[in-house]
Amino acid sequence: MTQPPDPARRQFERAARRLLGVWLALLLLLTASLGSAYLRLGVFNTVASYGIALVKMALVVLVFMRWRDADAWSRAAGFAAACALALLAGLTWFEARTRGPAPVPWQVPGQLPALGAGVHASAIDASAVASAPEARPDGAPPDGQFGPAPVSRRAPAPPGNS
Amino acid sequence: MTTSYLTDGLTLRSWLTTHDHKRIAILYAIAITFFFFVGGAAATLIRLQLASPDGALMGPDSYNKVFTAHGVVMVWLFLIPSIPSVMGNFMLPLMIGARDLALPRINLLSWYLYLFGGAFTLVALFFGGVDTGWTFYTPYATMFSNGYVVLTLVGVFVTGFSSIATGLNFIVTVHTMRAPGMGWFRLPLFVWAIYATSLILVLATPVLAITTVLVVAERLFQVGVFDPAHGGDPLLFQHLFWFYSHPAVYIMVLPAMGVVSEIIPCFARRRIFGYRLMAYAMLAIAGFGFLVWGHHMFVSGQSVAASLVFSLLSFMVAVPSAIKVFNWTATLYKGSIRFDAPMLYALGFVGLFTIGGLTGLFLASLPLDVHLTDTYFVVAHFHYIMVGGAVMAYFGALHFWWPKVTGRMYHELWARIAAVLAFVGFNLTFFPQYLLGVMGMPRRYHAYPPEFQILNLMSSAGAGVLALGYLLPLFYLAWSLRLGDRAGANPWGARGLEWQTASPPPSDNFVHPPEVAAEACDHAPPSPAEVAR
Amino acid sequence: MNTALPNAPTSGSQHPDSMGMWVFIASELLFFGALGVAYAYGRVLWPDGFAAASRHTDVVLGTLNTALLLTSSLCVALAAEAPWPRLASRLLACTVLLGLAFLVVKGIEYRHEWQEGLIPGPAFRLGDGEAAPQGAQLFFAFYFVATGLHALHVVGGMGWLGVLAWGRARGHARAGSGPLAVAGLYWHFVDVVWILLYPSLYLVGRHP
Repeated sequence: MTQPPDPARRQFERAARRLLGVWLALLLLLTASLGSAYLRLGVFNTVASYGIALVKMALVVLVFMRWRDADAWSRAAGFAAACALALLAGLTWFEARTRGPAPVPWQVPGQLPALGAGVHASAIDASAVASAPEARPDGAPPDGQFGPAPVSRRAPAPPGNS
Repeated sequence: MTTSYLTDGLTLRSWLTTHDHKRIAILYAIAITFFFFVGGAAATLIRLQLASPDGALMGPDSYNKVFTAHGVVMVWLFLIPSIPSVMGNFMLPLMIGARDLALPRINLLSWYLYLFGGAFTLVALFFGGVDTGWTFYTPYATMFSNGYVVLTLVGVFVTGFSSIATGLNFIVTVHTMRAPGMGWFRLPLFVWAIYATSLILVLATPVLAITTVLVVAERLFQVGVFDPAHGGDPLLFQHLFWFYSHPAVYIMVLPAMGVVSEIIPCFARRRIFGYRLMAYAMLAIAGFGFLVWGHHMFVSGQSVAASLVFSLLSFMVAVPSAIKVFNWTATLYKGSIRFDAPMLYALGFVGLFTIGGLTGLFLASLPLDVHLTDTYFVVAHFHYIMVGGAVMAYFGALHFWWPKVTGRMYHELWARIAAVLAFVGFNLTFFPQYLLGVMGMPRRYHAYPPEFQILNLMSSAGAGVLALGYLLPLFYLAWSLRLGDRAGANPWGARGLEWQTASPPPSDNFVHPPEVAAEACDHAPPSPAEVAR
Repeated sequence: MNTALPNAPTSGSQHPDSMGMWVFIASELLFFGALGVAYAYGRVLWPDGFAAASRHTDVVLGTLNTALLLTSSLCVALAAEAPWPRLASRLLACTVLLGLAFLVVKGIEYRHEWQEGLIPGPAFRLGDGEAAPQGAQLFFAFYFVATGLHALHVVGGMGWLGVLAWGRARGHARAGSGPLAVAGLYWHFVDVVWILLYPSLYLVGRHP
């Protein structure tokens, strides 16, 4: 086995020091995020834990994965994925947040009451909503105006296939 | 005679362990043809059932399984891989002057993943199928359906990774393997189309993959991600599912647009009108396609605010497609048009895609969609795009590149007959469905009120003609393999590096690695004098 | 290894394998990211249920696992820089062993959770006696799907790095620094996923 020349050895030692330094930083950040979770910080618990996670992620991506040495197109791939994810999260969140407690005007009546907020009478279809059947205590969907509820597979199912 | 990729290794093993993108394309072609006819058999059963209003052929449960099988097989096992994995695989390296794709072993892995995924789906069908519809909506798929949901979804999951691997390969290839001189804006539009498609394949398919995992987990372990009784939300499934499945329709149509952009300039003897705009439009379609998924959810209980946003965005996504239609038409202007079979298919695409696209605007409009959703209007809309559009383009591509791939010319008259039969049959099948939808006939029903029978009968008759149009190529194309005229390197007088090498090409694609000078790629077809037959 | 010589990569400065891995990582970002979107959906909807359920995860073992994975990333990064094949090979072997340790700890956690009845399903129960708050079972659904998928990725990475470790020691061209860097990218990404999973699964609602 031949020894690599000294420059290669020194280069490796420099790289190793940098990598070990980042590793120590990562462990410290891990301790910090664990510790901060036990403090009562309200919403800042979430902020801190994810903030620290993002810093750790940045360290791994920048140093271990050598982000700056990567091709511009490779980095663009990462950005594109992040954008697509942001789209999915953002529009889904927007849709979930803008759902009101009342059904939309064209919603077929007789559905389950809205989660959490109780039943609010819709201005358009008060009678239909008011007559919406209560959910059964065992959580199964109620019999609606379309007939008896289908049997859930959670109940002892017929010899089933999956 | 020099060896071609076809004669370079004659054992079955050499085919099944090949790294040659051209052979892998042939392997894909055989597999997807098989699945096309499986899906077509399901379609035949549907149209036979719907020929009479009382649904005498099958009961509702069987009918549900048949249309689900049709959707699952046609979408995931035929349409999504069709043009990219067959023509993309074969032509992409040739068009950019490379010897092969960037990652040839990943390419072979792609094919095997596709086969495994297809096998799971076939096994599920064989055991009795799934009745949820190809959309697998929860809570029915997770809580109530008694079909082979898990098996089918495993198949979809595996096939998804085949798609991702293919898309990844194409992206890396276009970035790193172009011949010297082949700048981005000298690339054929087909390459741009495959590139844009690959972006969607890589970014959207993983979301489908995780969605199938969650549905399987919920079904096997009753975890409740989509079950309100356990704090889940069925609408979450639809968001995740359609985030993939809307861009998926662009996976199906973008390669078709690329094919048409190759065929029309060649057979009109004209440079494509607005090359850069065409390339940007395809990227815009790929990008915008990620913004509009909620238009599948207008009546699902989605918030009105979100529905309005999605409706607006859906109108906007039509713009780049419209630009492309204008540009194809402008390319034809003052052209000297030859109505060879590939051109017939390409022209058919332009007309039918336009109709399908326009009806998409009907559906993007919120008040109209409330009435038209889940009716045959929707069925007609997407079949105009996917069959009238993508399948037509697939057949056009098949005929256009047949001489290059096989070294043989097919029988032109039979090919034109098949194209016309497909066009006529297609319209007879699906135009009545627009009318049925407006009249209120719901989709996915095994029976219907008797007043809808005439249109349904027309549709079923049309399906017979369409089937004939699809079956004919099997015969004359197979015939050409043995008895067709031998083709030269460039029988159509087309531009593009793929026409600069022999038909069929040698294993390494080019005897001398090509260098691209500007004139070679100005996308104006050579004059007849330049054509080397 | 691409077969396109002499038409070797001519456009772009990036080797195809490395770019391919970045594109693959982009797709995986969407795979785990979509799962994250579903998780976030549940957490915003049921903050108390998620907090209550998260308190039942084993934070000691979870933190230990995070440390193990971070160390394994260090090993693989060092291996990529090491000019000595034997050292590189040993560092890769360390990575594989740390990955194995990770899986063992995960297995112990899963066993505890199974014994406590935290597997989602009809037998789910959170703590003794009291009814599980809404969303607790949902949390554990995400917990098992996310850590299960992550563990599968760890297994895949271990196999790949193990093969490279073996090849590097013997001086195989296919286990050179290029392929090693590509495998390293994958392993670091698996680590990044865990870095984001850790606060999501172990640190919700820990404060007294």
